[in-house]
Amino acid sequence: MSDLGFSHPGWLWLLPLCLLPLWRWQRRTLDYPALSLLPPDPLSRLLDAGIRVLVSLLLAALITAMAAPFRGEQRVEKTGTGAHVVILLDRSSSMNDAFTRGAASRYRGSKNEVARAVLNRLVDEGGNDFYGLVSFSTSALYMLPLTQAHEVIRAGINSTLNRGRGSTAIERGITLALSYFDEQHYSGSRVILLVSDGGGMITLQNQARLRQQFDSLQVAIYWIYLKSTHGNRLVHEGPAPERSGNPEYFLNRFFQSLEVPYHAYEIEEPGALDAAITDIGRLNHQPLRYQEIIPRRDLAGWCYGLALVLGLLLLPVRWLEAEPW
Amino acid sequence: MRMPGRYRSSLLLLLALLCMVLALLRPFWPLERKVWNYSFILDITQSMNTRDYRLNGTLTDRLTMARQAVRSALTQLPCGSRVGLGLYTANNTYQLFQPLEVCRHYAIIADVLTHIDWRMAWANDSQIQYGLYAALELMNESADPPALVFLTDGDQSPPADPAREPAFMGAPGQPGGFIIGTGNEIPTPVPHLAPDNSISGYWTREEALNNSGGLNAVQSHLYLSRLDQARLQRFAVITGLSYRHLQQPEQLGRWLLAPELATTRTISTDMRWLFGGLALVLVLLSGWPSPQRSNRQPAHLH
Repeated sequence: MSDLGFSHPGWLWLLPLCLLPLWRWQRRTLDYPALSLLPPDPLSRLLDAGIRVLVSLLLAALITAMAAPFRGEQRVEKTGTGAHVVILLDRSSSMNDAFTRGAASRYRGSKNEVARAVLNRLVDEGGNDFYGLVSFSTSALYMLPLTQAHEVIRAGINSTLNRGRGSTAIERGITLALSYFDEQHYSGSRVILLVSDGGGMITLQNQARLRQQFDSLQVAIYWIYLKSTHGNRLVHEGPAPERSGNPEYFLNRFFQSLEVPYHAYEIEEPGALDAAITDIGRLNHQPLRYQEIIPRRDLAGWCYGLALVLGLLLLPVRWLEAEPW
Repeated sequence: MRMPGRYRSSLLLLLALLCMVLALLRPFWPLERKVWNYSFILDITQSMNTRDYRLNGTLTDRLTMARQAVRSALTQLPCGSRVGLGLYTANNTYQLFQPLEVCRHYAIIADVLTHIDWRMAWANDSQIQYGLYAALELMNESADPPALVFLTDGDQSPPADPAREPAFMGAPGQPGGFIIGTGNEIPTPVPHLAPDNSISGYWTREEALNNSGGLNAVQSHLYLSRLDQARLQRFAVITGLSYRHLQQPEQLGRWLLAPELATTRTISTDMRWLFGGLALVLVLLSGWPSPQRSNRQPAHLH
């Protein structure tokens, strides 16, 4: 609780100066024609001692203030509203391509750039939400832990400047994203926000494992699907397509089969992006219990204040005193 | 001319009180400070798992040593400096986040650092020049290009053909920074690690060659990896970076405080100590006996 520290502890070496008023106790001289004429005055002696202690305390307060004491960072359990969102960002090579013809008029740049813009907007509007960041291509990368510091998440999102490489190992990405929720203390809505331009095959064995994890951790999935020019639609009329030719269709089916909330947003659809951002924003209203980090608090101001009060007390004494200590 | 003692001491005390009031008005002055902006890129290829360091008496692998050095550097850089992290494997570099202020975000930077390990790699081969050049390009793409700190052992697999080295297209020294050689020049076997980080065997020569080149190995003995300083020094000359050999974790932070890579930033600096100190001196003076008294005759006693 009381986690005190000093920003400039070097000044504390001056603390012995506080003894100076006490040490010079006997060394004052005062001209007086006849000491014997002075009546004994115990009250004065007491007052004198009090003044010395006062000066001593004043010096101590000033030196402590100069050392700049602070109360360290503290964690406080808070209840608010918000969500825990792990952003799962596709960085496979196909993300370097431009958009489909239909969407190209609305979104300029590569799918990477669009993804960055979408995520930045989402985080800007995120309020209290916690965000984490995972990217995946051939393997999954732990980029940033869940944090409420949105500038940190933006530094992660905006670091994906260079061209993506490799394939879409969706299963590894999901596994890593789910591991963010292994810690039991996370409350509030839990979401994996998948931003990708394609699916990838998940073996039946892995599907079973993921299904079980989604079920026990209760993590919802939102998928912002950045469709390629020749990309597949998520829904297919008629008979199911070839298994290898349309991984997106099967990934969509897999997500639908999970017993957790799931939404897919095909960015090609006008307004899909706004709908995604609104829906995720709505999660803010779920109650959320979290640990808020209260930054270190400066206590030097209090010490200067104390010194000022002691100094003000001393001022009339100095004025009335015939000769100081 | 002679000010009575009580006037003098009251005046000094009054001035001291004024200083305290000024300190309470929170004087934070914009002062120029030296800060640094670095992006650390860690090699996470298999050879970095080679245990050829001794850290506090235990055999330590190169990647752990590199992480330790970066962690130590985080505490050595002054507040206001910024640090980004990324990794290199195969032939490319990935940033994990753009530089963040090192004091405010220390906990997050340290957390991400502990998560950097060989399991993040997406391929087993290692073409350092491609990764290094990609890293420099990446630095230059950001709005405020950080200096690069590239930590690697210089081991390439499969061995690169010198005639087919990629050409460096950038401007040497832009951005500046360091290539930090990690490891030992004594050839040491590279462990095969199981997903739980336990050693399940060692890389053979054949495996290392077949890894991506599909070459036929003549013999199949253990593949030995060593820090290739000559190669890294050559790359440093091409790119205008400085080469250093990491032997102790604390060295890195000292190298990074290089004045030529510092930028001066105006940082709002707490100047309350100045007024506090003045107040302290004034309080002491106000309590001191007046100087003119010191040479006086002792009091007459009748």
